[in-house]
Amino acid sequence: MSIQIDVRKQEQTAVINVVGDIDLYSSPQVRQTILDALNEKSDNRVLVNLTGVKYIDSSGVASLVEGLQLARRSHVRFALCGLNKAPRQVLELTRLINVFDIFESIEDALKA
Amino acid sequence: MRRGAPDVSLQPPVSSLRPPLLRWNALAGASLIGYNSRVRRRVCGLKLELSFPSDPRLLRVVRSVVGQMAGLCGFEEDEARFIVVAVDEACANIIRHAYGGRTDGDIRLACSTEDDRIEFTLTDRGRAPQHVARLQPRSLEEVRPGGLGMHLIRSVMDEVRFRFGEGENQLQLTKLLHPGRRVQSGAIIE
Repeated sequence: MSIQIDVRKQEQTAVINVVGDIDLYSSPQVRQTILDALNEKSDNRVLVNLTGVKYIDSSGVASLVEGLQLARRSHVRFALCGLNKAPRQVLELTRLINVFDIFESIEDALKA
Repeated sequence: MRRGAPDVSLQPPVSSLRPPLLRWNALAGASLIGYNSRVRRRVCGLKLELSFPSDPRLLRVVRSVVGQMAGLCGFEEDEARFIVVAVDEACANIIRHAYGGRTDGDIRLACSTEDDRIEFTLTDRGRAPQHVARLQPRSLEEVRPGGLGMHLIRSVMDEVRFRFGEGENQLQLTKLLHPGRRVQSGAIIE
């Protein structure tokens, strides 16, 4: 299955839903979607929903880090939600798990 | 090897053991599950070789095969998942750095399972790294994108060896099997 990405606006938040593996092939698409959402500057927050992601590699992690850095420069909140076990383990292994705001679900993130 | 369209060629294992049906299902059927948790019986002495072009679309196939082999060798699901990450990162490094993003370079992946380990040897004919520093993991103190792949490889694998020469680059990755133990974030936990 190739990666599927869609962006929905919800309560002044751009919710980026990603479904599929984020790897060397698909991470440029994920990266561009995140950067586009941040550059749009019409939302207070960008939330990347990873519920449908079972695998992420270092290029995917780099895309998330790049998004976080741009968000900080743009004064936009940036968060992740729905982390499955494997992506969480990769973030732990790269010691980036505590760098991101991470929520269990979209609902939890929107309430925060 | 045929160039252009993605091509995966598989060579049967050199082994006296009858290959488990699951493995052939996974290979011939290109099942894309990364690891089959039903497989618990250890199978040693398996050898498998894949030749494939440096097309990132094929990484998911490689991950599936690596996960299946790690499972057959007896690694628990979490460990197998880490091994998949390491080998995938090694392949991605070859595609990005040795072949500079070209999709028609040759990559060979040889995998063997022994009593106490699983070994992967990746061979390519791309550019050799110009600086040894590129083979070392960077410090993780600084939060920035990039340079995480080698850290992941070295965190997961017990041995990482490079060999360059005669127009070939070779990377050997070894993961030891520790019965009754599991790996978490690169550390072995009793």
